Amino acid sequence: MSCVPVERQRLPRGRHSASQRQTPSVHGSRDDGHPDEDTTLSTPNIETYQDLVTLESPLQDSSRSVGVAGNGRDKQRPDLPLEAPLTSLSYSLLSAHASIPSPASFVTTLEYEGSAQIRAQLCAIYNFNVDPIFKVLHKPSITAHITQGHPYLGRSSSDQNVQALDYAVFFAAVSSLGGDECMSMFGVAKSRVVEGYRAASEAALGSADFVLNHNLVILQAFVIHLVSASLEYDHAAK
Amino acid sequence: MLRSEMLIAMLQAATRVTDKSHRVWTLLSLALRMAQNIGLLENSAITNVRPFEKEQRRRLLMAIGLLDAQAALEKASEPMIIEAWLPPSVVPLNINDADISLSTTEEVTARQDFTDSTFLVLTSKTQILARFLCFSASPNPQANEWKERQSRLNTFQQEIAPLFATNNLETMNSAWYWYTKSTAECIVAWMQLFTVRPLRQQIGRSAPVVHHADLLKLGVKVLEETRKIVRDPRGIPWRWYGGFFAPWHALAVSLAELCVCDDTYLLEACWPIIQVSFFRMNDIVPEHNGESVWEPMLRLMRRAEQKMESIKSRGAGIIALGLAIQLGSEQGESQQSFVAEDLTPPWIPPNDSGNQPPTGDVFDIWPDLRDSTVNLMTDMSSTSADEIAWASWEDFINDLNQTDGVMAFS
Repeated sequence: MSCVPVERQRLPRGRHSASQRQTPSVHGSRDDGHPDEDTTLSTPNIETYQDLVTLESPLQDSSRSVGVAGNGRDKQRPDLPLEAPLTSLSYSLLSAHASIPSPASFVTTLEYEGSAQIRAQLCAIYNFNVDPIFKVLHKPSITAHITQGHPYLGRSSSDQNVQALDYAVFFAAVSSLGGDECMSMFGVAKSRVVEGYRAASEAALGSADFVLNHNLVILQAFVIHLVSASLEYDHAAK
Repeated sequence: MLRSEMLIAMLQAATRVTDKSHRVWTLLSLALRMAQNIGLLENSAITNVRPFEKEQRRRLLMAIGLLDAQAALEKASEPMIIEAWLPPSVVPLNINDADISLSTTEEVTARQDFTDSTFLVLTSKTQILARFLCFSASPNPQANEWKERQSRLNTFQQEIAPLFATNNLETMNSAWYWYTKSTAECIVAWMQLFTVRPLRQQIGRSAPVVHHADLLKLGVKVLEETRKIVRDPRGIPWRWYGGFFAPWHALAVSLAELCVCDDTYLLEACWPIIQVSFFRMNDIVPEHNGESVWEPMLRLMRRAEQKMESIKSRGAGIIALGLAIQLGSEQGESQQSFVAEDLTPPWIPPNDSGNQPPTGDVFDIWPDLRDSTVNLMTDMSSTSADEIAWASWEDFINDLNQTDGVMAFS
């Protein structure tokens, strides 16, 4: 079984940090290209799934846990890093949205900037905050896909439907955060982070041609996008 | 422009409107079409698929159905998906995610205790019942029979009771168990209100025979408990969703009953809580639901204020309370909370335990109101009090009916 790192390394700051971009890898599957595109893994490894169910939260800090959920699962709320903000990620989100290049380049930029840790963290936040209350996905499947690069329901990680689902999950995760949590994680106001992920999710859905390309995965992505899009930016302010 | 860019532009246009109730309104119809295209609404489509896909399809359909029902309730309009499209077989199984995987070939048996899917099963059954109780699109003639409506609610309570069974103390004390059970209590109470105070006119039907004091208490209790869930720090991780209710309905029921209640003590106990709820929703509902719901509510509130004015003239005590509420509303949430908690009616215990496991075969809600809910509807003939109270409610739904932008209730 593999573990997701608890500590997130600080990403290079500023918009001109591309030369320094060496995002830390979770399993060596997400850094350069998508070596996880091995469709021979169409059937998930059940043992891995069960391990993930019991060790789902990648960030464990009992001092900040909110509660216990389920029958011993989801033991703690995914904690959020308190260190310096992800300036480069924030910049990329905002600048990409401001100019809106093609949807594909927008997604590529965001994917490149978003480290594997961020993706794993957002997945954990989704599993804790969103999945219990709006259960559309099978947590072990989506977790194995996002954190370990496994195929999702037999589809490769580079499949556009699966990528649309990824960004819908990330959009929902950031939408579920409180304003202070979002500030701690990204270093910018929640409304701006949500806007970035919303644009990414929209771009991914558009790229997957969701209106004509009907299948279970793209509909999952669309529905999760819808529930996120219906929310206020800062529920914590209510 | 590329098609993908056009799709993105469509998403942006549809989800960036300021009226919350419209953000997903148009796109939901697209989701429903997509669901139809992949056969989510066809029972026969799931007979030949593997258990995992079958379960994924059920979850997806219920998610679309939930958004549809919530959008309809928020706007007091009709859902796209009608009750007849949602037979019991579409309700997801009460299972843990670990019970199933893509490689599962054998049918999975639903559990009889608290699982990963308990909340999903709860909301799935709720949206089906809500369609029966609330919407005129239901072709089911039984929806017009008061006893049948009550019977469906009782069945619902029996079905959800086993979902909360657990011998695991850790689970029982968890924030998620508390949240799920508290939500279920509010849902049952909310459905009870809908049972006797539907959103459609019951043309040609006599008024439901209810204990009116109990109905007022129940409406106020729903307002109180809904607010507690939202404010409780244990619910912070799930606060983003904003609740599953249309709390304005409980407020409307409370106001309509208050208008015809002559129990001064009960009125004085309920009025501050109703006022706090009204002021809070006044900031939220018009934005989220549009004016269609809130304008009739404002007129109902004016009637209630006139009623309380007449009570005031008989005693000065209420004046001080009303003033305190007004101050709370103007000076912030903390004061509202202080006032609300201070003025909790005497029938609500100060330390209402939300973690007691349900007993018996029916899912019980708040022990302090148990008798009220069990005996809410009676077999007696309707009295003039029933007729007056029903007329008070019909005034409100007629008002809803006449407001622009709201579908006519048949």
